[in-house]
Amino acid sequence: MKQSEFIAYITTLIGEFGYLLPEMTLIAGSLFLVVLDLLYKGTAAATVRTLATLVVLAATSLAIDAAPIEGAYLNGVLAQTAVTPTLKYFFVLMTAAVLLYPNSRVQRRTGEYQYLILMVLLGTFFLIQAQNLLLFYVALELVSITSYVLIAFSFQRKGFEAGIKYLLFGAMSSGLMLYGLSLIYGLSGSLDLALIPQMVAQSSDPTWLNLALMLFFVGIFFKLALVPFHIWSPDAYEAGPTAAIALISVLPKVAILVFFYQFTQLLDTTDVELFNWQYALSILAIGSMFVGNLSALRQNNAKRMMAYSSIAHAGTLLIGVIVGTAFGYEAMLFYAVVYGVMNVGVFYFIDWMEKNELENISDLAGLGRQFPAVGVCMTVLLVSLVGLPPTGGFSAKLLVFSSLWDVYLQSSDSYLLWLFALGILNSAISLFYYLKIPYYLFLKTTNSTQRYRVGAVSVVFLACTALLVLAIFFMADLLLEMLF
Amino acid sequence: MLLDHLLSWLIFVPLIAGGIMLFVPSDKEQAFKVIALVAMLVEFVLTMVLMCSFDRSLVGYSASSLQFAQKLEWINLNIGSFGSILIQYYVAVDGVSILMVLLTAIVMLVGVISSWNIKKSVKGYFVLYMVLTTSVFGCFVSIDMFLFYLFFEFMLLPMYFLIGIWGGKRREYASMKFFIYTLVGSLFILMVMIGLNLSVVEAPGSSVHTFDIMKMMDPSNYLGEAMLGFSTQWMGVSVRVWAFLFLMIGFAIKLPAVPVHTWLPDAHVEAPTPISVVLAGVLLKIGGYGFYRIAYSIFPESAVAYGWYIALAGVIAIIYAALVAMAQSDLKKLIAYSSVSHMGFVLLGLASLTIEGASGAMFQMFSHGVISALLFILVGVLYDRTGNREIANFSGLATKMPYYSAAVLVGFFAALGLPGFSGFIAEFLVLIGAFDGAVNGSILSTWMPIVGLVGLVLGAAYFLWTLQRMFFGKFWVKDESWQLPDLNRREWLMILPLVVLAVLFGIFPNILLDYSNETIIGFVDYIQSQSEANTILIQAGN
Repeated sequence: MKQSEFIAYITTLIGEFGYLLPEMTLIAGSLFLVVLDLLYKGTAAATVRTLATLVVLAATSLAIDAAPIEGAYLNGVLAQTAVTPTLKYFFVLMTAAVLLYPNSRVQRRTGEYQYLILMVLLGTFFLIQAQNLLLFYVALELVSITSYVLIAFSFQRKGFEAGIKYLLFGAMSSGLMLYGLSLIYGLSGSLDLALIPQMVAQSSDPTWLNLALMLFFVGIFFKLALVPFHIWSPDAYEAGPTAAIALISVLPKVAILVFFYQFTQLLDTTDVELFNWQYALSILAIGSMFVGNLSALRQNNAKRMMAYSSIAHAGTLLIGVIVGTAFGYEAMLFYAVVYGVMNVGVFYFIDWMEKNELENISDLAGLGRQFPAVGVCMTVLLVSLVGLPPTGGFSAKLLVFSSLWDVYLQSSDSYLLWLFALGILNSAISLFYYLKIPYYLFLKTTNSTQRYRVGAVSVVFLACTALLVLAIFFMADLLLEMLF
Repeated sequence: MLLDHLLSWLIFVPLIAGGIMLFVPSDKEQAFKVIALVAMLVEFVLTMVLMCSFDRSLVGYSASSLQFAQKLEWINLNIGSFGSILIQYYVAVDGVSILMVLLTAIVMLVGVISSWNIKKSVKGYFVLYMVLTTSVFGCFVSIDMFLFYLFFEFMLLPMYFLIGIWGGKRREYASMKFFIYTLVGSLFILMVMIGLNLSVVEAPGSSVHTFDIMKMMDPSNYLGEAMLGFSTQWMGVSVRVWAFLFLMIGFAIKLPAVPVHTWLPDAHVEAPTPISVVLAGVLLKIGGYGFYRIAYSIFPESAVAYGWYIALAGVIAIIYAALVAMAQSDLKKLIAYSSVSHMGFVLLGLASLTIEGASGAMFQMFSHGVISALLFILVGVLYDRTGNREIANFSGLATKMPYYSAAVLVGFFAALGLPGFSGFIAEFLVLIGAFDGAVNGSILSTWMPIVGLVGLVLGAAYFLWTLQRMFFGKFWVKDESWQLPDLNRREWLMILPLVVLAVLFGIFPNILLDYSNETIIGFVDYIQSQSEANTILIQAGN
């Protein structure tokens, strides 16, 4: 390469850093927060830090607005599509919402805690743009490692135990994934998503490629907590700080699914005879829905219940990847946004429970009569999690299952119909445990004389999420337009 | 102006009333009752206006024979290459749904009066009651399937809480059971709804997927190869047959038909009196109405092909539920089972696909709505006074409570189908239709109406036996301390109009039949001709 070419090349690369404006803002902001944490100590420190973090998030949103929107950049390692900025906004909003939690378990060390939360956000930013397997892996590890620490952040025995469990499972799955990635690299000689299919086509034996894909998939399934790779998640959910869990239950999953969708799209373009991965994913999705929902039935601990619920929802989200059409992708993202809103609301309530030292659903007896506004908001959110109208959860399920049915009609593979029927059946199963909360809130009475307080902020927060869930139902077209 | 939006007013007046209630402090208990009563009176007046300006001579069964139609685009989801999904706010009535609207207006009004002695959290109760009213009206006038489903589902939550909070001892179990049964049923309906939406477009060649039931009735609106339709098969059977089966299951749970009826006795026994009245009076009818409006209309070929099995389900419900009713020791449970038995006639009449049979099915829904409301109020009267409903605990009540006993006598006679009451006309029409369908058509067997007749005899048996055990003979009650005053003014106010209606429609059934006649003729004609056309399409598809 001539010197002049090299300089031109470098100049384009530097020019393309404009694309990274949101990420760079986030990194600079996080570093600033760390410094602030060292300098500023005092009674009002936590509030100041939260405000500062929100400012960083606001700056990031502005940066998303300012950055160029579409196209591949930095040598094609990263790429943005039309939906990327919207997803980033969604992630930023989720993070901001989570920072507003009362956060009882993280009394000290808010600085580090918020820094870690921002790192999860940063990781997801890269995940949804990754076009290169190595970059994907690094971004995934950024999310994972911060998650391990966040889970253990309560500084209690239980938290450490769960953190270690999560770490061991996560390290194992990362290892498997890395092994799969190295096989893919060995077979294709490239880590660029765009190049892999053609290069793989030249290798003759599909067995190795299948093995590589399976290992890579297993790694992803671990992160998505799909059955049977879900065992770490209930313990982690139970022990971790609720705000962090609310974030971890949505952001990384959505980001991984966005990448996973792009990856599986490539599989269709190769001529190599692959194993029937749609079939395998369908089995995992059905398994996750059943195991998640049936296990959730037996939980009394609210957070464990939500852990199993998120396993089931991951199964439903996976349908978008199985479907593999543009319609399916849109439906999946729509579902992801609705799921995020619902989870933020429900976990906020769980955080409130934790603050009042309520752990179990049965402890909620009679509280709905005491706080009708909170009870009604929770009912709306939980009804939405079941997927009943008139809530966004229903619109989301309707879209996902419509896309599935659409593909079934074109391919008439009977396993898709089973997925459809069993998926809908699972909505009915999930009803039992989600409605257990309103059931205790309103229908049960208690003899306990303990009085609780619900602040106005909490009511407003819950009301906002509940109204949002309703609004998504009544104006579903607006959200779809926003996403696409 | 009012007439153009009449149906929307009908749907949203209760919701507005519920909204007003939210701003009334919860200790002003009387205010909620008054607001609810006023709202229901407004509903009743609106219904009367609707009845008066309805054109009874409009023939046919299609979009053009619907009246008071209001159609607005609500949600238009644009999904790339797939096209778009259009959800409309589309409400209208025909000769059948207008009678269901009338029934709802009557029963909901009576329900409010019956709710007068609710003590526990009055505010919550009446707000939920208003929401329930909105969704019931909405169900009966929706022509867009999505809108129908929305209202259909939205009935669940208020009912769940109304039974679960204000019910009897085992209320939590009963409300959960009610919820789960109905939800499972509605999920079956949901599956079919998704399938239909993806298969049906606004007009041939368009890519706008619609939920419009009237559009779903026209085979030319179905998409070519990829459709819930005429050439797709699953496990060797046309997908349309599966879809019809799913709808049948969904609506049969709501109706309810044997063997998916078991939620009903529990729900009835535990529900407070007004909610039992609403449940038996209107909610069950949504099952029957769903058969008519959705299952039969969209899948006429399956309605003809599987009519025999539907009639069989009807006959089984009539006989089985009557036998079970006979064995009950709880008066409310007895009436609940008699409801199941009576709803069997709806299935039998509809399955016959004759004009008499279908008219009878419709008439039975209306008549049973009035009579079962009356019966549940009468049970409530006894329960209010004693807190007990065991048949064995009472004897010779006629001597202490003569007016009450007379009312029960009339109610029971109306329910067992004595000539002169509306129940007789309904069951008579159904049986004629079933005979007609068996002799002149090929759908039913001749033994079905005969067995149905046995059901009438069984009905007479358990009602008369109960009457004899509880009301005649020497006065005796289990607990001496029970005060048994006769009917008070509020109770008269509920009972008398219902008795008058049961008699009025028994003597002048034409008041109602005039409304439904042209629609039913059009409906039967449509089913017969469309089923042949669709069958040919399915055969051509394979």
